[in-house]
Amino acid sequence: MDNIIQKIIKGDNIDEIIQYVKNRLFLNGPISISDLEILSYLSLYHPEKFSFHLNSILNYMSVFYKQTEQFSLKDLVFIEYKKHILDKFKQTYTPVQADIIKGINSYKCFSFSAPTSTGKSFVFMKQIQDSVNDVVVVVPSRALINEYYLKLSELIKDKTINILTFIDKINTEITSKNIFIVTPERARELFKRKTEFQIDLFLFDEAQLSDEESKRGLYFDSIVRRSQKAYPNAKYVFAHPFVKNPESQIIKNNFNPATSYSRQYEQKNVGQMFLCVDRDWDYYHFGINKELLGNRKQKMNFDPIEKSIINNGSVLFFVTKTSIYNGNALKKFSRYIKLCNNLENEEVEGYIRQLTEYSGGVIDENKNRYSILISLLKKGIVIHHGSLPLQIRLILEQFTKAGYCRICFATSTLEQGINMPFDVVFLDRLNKSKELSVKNLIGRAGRSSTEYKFDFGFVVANNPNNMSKIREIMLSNEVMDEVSLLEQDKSLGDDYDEFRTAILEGTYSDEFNLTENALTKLTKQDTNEIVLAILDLIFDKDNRILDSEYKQLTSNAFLKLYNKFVKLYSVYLGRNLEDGEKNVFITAIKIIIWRIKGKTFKNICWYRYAYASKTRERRQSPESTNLPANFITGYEDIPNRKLPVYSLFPMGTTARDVSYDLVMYDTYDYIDKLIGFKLSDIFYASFYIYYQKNNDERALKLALLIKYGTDDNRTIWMLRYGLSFEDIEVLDRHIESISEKRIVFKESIKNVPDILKKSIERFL
Amino acid sequence: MKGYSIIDNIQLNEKVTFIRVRPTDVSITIRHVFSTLTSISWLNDFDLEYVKKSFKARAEPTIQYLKEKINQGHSDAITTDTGEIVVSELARQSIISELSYLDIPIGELLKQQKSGNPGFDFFTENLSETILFGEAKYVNGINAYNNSFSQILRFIKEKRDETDLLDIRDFCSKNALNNVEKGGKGFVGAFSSTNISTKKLIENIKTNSNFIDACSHSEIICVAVDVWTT
Repeated sequence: MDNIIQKIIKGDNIDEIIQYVKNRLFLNGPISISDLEILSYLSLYHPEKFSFHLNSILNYMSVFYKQTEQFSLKDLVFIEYKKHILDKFKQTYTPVQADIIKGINSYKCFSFSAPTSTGKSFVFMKQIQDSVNDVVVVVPSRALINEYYLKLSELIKDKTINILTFIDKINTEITSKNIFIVTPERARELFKRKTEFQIDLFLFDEAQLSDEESKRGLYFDSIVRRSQKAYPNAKYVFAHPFVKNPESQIIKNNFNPATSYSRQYEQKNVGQMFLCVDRDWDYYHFGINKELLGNRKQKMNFDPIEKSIINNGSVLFFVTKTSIYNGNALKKFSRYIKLCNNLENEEVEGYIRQLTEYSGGVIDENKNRYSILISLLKKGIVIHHGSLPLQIRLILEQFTKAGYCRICFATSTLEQGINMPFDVVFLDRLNKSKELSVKNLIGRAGRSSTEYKFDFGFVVANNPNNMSKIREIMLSNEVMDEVSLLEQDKSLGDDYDEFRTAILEGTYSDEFNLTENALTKLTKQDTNEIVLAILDLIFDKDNRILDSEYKQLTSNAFLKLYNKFVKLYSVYLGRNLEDGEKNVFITAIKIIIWRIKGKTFKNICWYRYAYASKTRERRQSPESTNLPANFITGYEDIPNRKLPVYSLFPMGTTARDVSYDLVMYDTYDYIDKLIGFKLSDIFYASFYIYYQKNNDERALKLALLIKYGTDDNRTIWMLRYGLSFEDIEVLDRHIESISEKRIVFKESIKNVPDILKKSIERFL
Repeated sequence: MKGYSIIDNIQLNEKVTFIRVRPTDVSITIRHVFSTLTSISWLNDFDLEYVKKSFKARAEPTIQYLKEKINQGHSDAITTDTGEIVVSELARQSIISELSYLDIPIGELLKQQKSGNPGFDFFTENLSETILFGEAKYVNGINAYNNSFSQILRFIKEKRDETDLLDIRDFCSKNALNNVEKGGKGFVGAFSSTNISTKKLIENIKTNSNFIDACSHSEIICVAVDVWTT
């Protein structure tokens, strides 16, 4: 067998090719990329002949969620197995799904890997639901937390089951068990109150995080170790995509081999066809296995993206964040954007309304704060990347799941967000260092359906020169380290090394999320003086926090305040800040101050946008269209001594061209990546420890404001029940009382529209 | 495993043999083929526990169900497929037991298939190192020798015997493979038969033009399988 693509297109040896692939499917199962490619080609180019064999192909693939018939003894081999699974599990699982359940039920520790769209999440949901006691699901991102949360909330109607995205003990009067969906960082709270929970199952999804050479990777392993120690009777499950050696989790975390099991599943449910496109937008087929499918690319006679959009399919463009930011992605693919008509639909309008309300952006191109992100939604075009505020991401993901998305421009963060397949995945970039991510994204091509058909999708390389890279990625084996980063000597910088030592020595503070060394620095005498100076500057004589409108932030009092914060951070770092990092840090402090003054996300974006785009000046003199934009410091990760002083908008940007979307993304990066992940822990610890030592109520207030955004006990309880500040604005008045035991609602809650009650519907 | 008896084994001329097989219990053959198929399928590696422990008990009602369908003369897809496999397997086994030809088990053959050639159903090699290509046909209510021999001729025309060599080369002797290249090959026409007498059946076969054409090759075996009797 060779040159199969060409033969199929020409119609040569079709019976022979079908028989060849059927034999392989029967003997080996749907594990070969090439077999599934061949089936995709047969299905596309010879639908009539293919339909004659479809029944047995689906049986041999064991896609048991599709209804098939028994036409032959070979069919019966699989149909018997389907019945066996149904009898045993009372569900129509695929062999892989059934085996995952068997692995979970039979072993104390089960680690596995499986390709995208094997339906593992369906199995997990059932396992979580069926667990008698508490369950902890650990995922790498907040986007995935939300995905799990939404799925579980939909599946589990029993309101005595708490589904929480933090480790907390709430609603105790009603709760029968807790399901915690957390990141490794949030999971640490578990150990502070380990006796309060009875955990049956720890589920580590996307557990390849363990292999990441970062604090997060370290943290992941430390959480696994500590969970084992704290809950020796619980079950441990690790799930990965495509990883060759899932047993690495068992080895590196010292699980007992006698009660542990691992398995790599290679069975796929969906086929893929690989394409490339040249500069003239001509599309070509190519195969992953050159010997079998052919060496040369074969020209297609249609544009798969155009066809997909016209047929109401969906297309994912995997692009760089830069090309989204500078608009090049939209320009490059404008030919497809043009094909997307406006969606005239009340539900779509609803999504747009939610976005404008949360972000403060508008869809009128001639107005300030024009948001391309929101206006594109009207055409069914979604933009998705790591700097999208979580709330916005959630709305976009719901929009996509509701079936409105025609085109999605996404960066690699999508793999940890929308767990949704597309008909076409266009790879406009290929990050070879992140092969697993690319493979994961490629796995999104092709929707698995319950329809009686062979499901397949298209994967497109942006350039014929990338064919070999795609082949390499598809054929590569992802191997995880079998020695934990905790036990490796590799140095990844002082900060990281100190963190690792603290984890290993057990001196890492769960309460403050800091190392002992960092805490020592923050409790020194000179730190106390800085903290006191900050408190004196930030509170007026009536213990109110200073006003913080934008112009006031440049006042003398604030400049002094920033300097004190800079000093505090320098103590923590053990060195002075360089100019570039200082700019970033001060911008973060401004945002913290706005937040503790109760400013919402959109308020903060408005302030920053108004300043950068000189809205007032432009309003006063509308004729001056070439006013240059103001300098505002964009987010960059700090500490970083080499960071230059730079503006979010490069020199030459006019004020009117300042992008509201960019301001919004940048503001979220500050809040999420810098304040959320780094600064708030440092400041909370500084102020809280100061309060413990000196009993200065102002320090406690500031610590709470930094941690929760409020120091009001009732509001903190509402946040602990999962309400956002936006929810609290609406629902506070309908809550009679709230405590660890439960929320007591007023009668008036019945008059609140359902859409506004989503965050509390499990407590009603 | 047996489940059949040989009713007739008649040498029609120096290169044509007629064998008549009567299944004593067709479920034995179905069971054998079904478990062979299961054990070579990917499920065997995937869930050996199922194949070893649950499959046998689980498959029994299905085997009986298929037997019933054959007995009742159904002609739907699953009955026809099973009937054809029964004819093929019984023909293969009877040739091995009656003529001591080479045994290429169905499971081994299926595992070995590389060509994708939708060709002959079974194969053997005679004592003079000639490969025989077997084609089985099951048609409810008729003596399906014409279906079998016409298919054999079509496959010869389409050179499927040659492509099949890819799949069987590991089983056959070198000389036998060389012989095929020189045109030395034989064929087995296996078919379901009715309660017709052997004498009448042979007479009919002898006048069949497809059979006559097939006789130009080194060896021909006709195997009539009395599926109706089970």
